[in-house]
Amino acid sequence: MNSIDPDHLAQLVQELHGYALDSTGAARAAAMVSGIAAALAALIVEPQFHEEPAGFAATLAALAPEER
Amino acid sequence: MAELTDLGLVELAEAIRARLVSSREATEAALARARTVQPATNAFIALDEAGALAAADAADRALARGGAIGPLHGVPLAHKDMFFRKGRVSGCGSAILRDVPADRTATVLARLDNAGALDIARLNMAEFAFGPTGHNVHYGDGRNPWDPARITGGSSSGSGAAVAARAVWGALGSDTGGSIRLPAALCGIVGLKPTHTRVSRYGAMGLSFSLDTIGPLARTVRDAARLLAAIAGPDPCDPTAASHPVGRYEEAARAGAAGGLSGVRIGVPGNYYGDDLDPEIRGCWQDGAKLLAGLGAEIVEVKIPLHEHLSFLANAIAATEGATLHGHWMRTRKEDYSPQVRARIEMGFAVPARHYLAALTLRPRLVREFCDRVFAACDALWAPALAQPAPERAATDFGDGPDMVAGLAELTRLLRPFNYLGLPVVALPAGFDRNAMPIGMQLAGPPFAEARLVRIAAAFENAAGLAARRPPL
Repeated sequence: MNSIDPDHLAQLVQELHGYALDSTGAARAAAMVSGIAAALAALIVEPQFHEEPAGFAATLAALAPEER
Repeated sequence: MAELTDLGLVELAEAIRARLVSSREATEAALARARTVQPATNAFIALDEAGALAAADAADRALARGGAIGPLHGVPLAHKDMFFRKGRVSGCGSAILRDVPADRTATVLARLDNAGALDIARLNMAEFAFGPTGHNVHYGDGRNPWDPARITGGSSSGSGAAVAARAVWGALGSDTGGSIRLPAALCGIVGLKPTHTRVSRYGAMGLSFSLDTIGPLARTVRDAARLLAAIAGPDPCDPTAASHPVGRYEEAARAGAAGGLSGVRIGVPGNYYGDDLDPEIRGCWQDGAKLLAGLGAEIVEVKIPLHEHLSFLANAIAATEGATLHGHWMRTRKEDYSPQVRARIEMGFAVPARHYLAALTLRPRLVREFCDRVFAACDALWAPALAQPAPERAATDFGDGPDMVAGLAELTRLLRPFNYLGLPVVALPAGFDRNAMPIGMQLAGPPFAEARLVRIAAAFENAAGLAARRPPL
């Protein structure tokens, strides 16, 4: 499952964030990103999906049962 | 009257209101108990004895004057050390903020102040709330009052331990990946994680703004209900705080304790929550379902959709937001973090923006699908909080070693999906294991159904009769 190159990831993190991941940290990060990618691949079934993150609050309110 | 520290929060508040007990008497009892249990639990970061007694005397004088008093008048509380009070240090379990006074007061503290509560101490917690075990290299580990060799759970470690040890009558915690529910479950008390944004986060330390949720830990469901009622509701200082009407939580708790559960459908997950369960936890879960059925509830098996993916999505969000919030310090003060917290935060630098946004973008659809499927079949879900008995501290002292990621993930496996979904959950004691350690269960419901959960939880609590058991300290 883990097709992300930890060394490449560490290089990106250094360039983008100015933070040095050691080899253990890079391997951990690569494994996590691979897991996230797999979960997203399993859940995104359409080529496009356009629900804005800000809609989450309204969704919660809409799903609330009418009781107090 | 029973020993003061054995009274519940509501009982104490009513006794103070009726002037059967003074706030000073309650506060002196709490301070004495805190001093007694601190060596075993390490629940307290700082105990403000002089301030607590002065506040108690002021509360007693106010009561004597006959003015209006709040529902928590004179009741000593203490909170996870991440709720800021202007001018006071809140270290957030860290070395970085150990001596930094806050520039604002958290809305939740202001609301508890307005309700008359006393804030007598700062409670231990995981460093920056990163950590489900209660370990802390800067302030010492939280230790479980039922057995100090075992973890309290985290990150609200001190909240769980102090309340369970009868040193305070209630405490606030925060729950980004289980941090209210896990200490509640492991310490044998009630933890209420409300719907995301039900409670204002203004003035509280942020870990992951899309997931952070503030809520109470208390000894009984009714106590937690009173605390939630005091802190819930919209807040001009926090534009994300929900404007949804605040429920009549305490009324629901009373109704639950007094009545049965006729007409209530309790969902028992047929998948995910039963995976890899310790036999004792499974037995307790099943016995709890039978007890709920005995109260008149209809037990229905429900299939839980998508859960195997939700922890990854929660990770994408928490890791990215955590790395964003800590980015500056991680670059400039890296050595001031513990190895484990540093290792966890730095992973967030590697999450692509598209993954983070996809995890957020999927959220409305997934919570809709979850509620449509699950809460069409039942009114609330009954599930274990933790798949294993309370672990020993030594066995979960992962540091930044090779077992860290898997070990921490396993502790929150049954908790974290509800953070992603933003749903309310009550964690409550359901039994004890072979080591005489508490076993906790979760009751989860649809958004803003806290009153429903409180009613069911109170009915269970009343029938189970576990709330009076106290740790052997």
